[in-house]
Amino acid sequence: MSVLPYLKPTSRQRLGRLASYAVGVIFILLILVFTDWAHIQKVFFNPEVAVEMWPAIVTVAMKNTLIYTVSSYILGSLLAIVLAVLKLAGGPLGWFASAFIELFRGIPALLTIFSMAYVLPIAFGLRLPSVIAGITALTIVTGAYAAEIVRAGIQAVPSGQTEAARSLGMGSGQTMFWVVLPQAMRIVIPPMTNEFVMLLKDTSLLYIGGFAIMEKELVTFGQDALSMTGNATPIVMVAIAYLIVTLPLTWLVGKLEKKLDPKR
Amino acid sequence: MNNLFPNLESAQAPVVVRGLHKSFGDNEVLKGIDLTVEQGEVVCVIGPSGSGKSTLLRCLNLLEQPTKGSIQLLGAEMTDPDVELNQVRTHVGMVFQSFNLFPNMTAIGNCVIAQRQVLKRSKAEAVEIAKKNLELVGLSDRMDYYPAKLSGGQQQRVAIARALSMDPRVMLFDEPTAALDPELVGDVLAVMRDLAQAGMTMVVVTHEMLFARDVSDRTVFMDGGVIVEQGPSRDLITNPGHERTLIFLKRVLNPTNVDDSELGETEPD
Repeated sequence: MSVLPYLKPTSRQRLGRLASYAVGVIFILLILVFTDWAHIQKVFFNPEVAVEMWPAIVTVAMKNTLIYTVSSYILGSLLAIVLAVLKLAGGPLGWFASAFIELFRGIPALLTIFSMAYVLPIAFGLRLPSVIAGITALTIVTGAYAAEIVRAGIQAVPSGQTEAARSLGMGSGQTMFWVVLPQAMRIVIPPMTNEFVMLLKDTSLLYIGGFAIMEKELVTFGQDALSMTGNATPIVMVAIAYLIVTLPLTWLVGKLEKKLDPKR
Repeated sequence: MNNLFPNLESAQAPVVVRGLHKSFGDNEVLKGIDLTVEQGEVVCVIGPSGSGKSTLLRCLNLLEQPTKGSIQLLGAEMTDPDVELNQVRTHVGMVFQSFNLFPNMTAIGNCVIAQRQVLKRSKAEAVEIAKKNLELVGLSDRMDYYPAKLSGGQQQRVAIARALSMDPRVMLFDEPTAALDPELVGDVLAVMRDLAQAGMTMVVVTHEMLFARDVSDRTVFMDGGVIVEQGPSRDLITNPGHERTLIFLKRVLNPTNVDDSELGETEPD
């Protein structure tokens, strides 16, 4: 029987935590001492540059970002429901829906946007205004991704619901519209809110189609301001503008997931 | 449409099953069922789990596609692909073990939706009929509750009211009390008894032997995918003619008193 001074696991954990705190504190102190704070402030948080961007960053850039996001989100969600229902119904249309979903989930969103803006005009002479082309492309991409979310939601509705509706004499379409879809929508609220956040950020890809001045969204706007002022403050402001929208939404998703989890 | 219901108003029995077979893959669950239910008759189907009694009931309104055989429901041949199933099902109420109420609608909403969508009744008429039926099942004070706020027994009674709101000619019950707490079973059975006494044609798959004995006209005992025997309920339950029926009834009516000779043969449930 040895009487070595073994430490209890909890004590060992406490020691380890203390050590990691110490390392962290030293690291932060080093940064504080050796950083040129005046320079950081001038480059990233320059009030003169910030004032210059005001109010266009909100009235033009953020407004456009939200317009592009909301319109492609609404259209994309409708497309997603149609694709999901068709896919589940099977047959030639279901096959088409599957192919559509796999295609646009399988290629980068940027390629879809690029195709809308440049390939369509070259191939078919169809030249859409760049904003319309961009929203169309994002609608397609969102539709393809959200279709799988909606499909999973529909399949998560217990089969007893369909059986009950059908045994009341309701047709398959009536059953889908009145019984299954409303319940599926509830189930997909959290993932669909995530989809909105993703889409919000993906609107930055629309720059590839080219924008008129009043059509610029946040990233393009920030990029232009960066190259004009030679200062990084616009990028910081753009980042903050995104976070103002995305952080509450992400928080909301967490809330909703908790609230919708138990069976109502 | 009318030619699809040649016998809807005739004297033919509302449920006529001939040579019904149903397989799930290699597993044959129903092995040739013949069953007739007369107008106004209450028939209970009993038997051990896995005997095929629920499958039989679900085949009747074609929730399950039969493998072989003929099912005539309200005079319509259900296995005929040309028969408009929705139209027949409208007249056949179904009550499920797990209630299957629509959770996104209130009790009265559950009773109204199919009246509006299928029977195309006006909103006022549908609401009135729904209210009448919810009253009938003793839930006039719970009309605006969502299913999640109702007890199992209340949910099942809403489900019965929902089916009744379609003015069914036949009611099918698939173990309606099997998912209920024991103290809630009585309310549901009382509603079903009232319904039976009002002359509704009913097919009830159940484990409630006393209900079968006292309420139903005829009891059918199934085992292994066949009908072993059937007869007037009181006779069959108090004095069964087959040994399998006898063993089953003994076990159900007196689950703790296991005969010594059976020990080791079967695992306790």
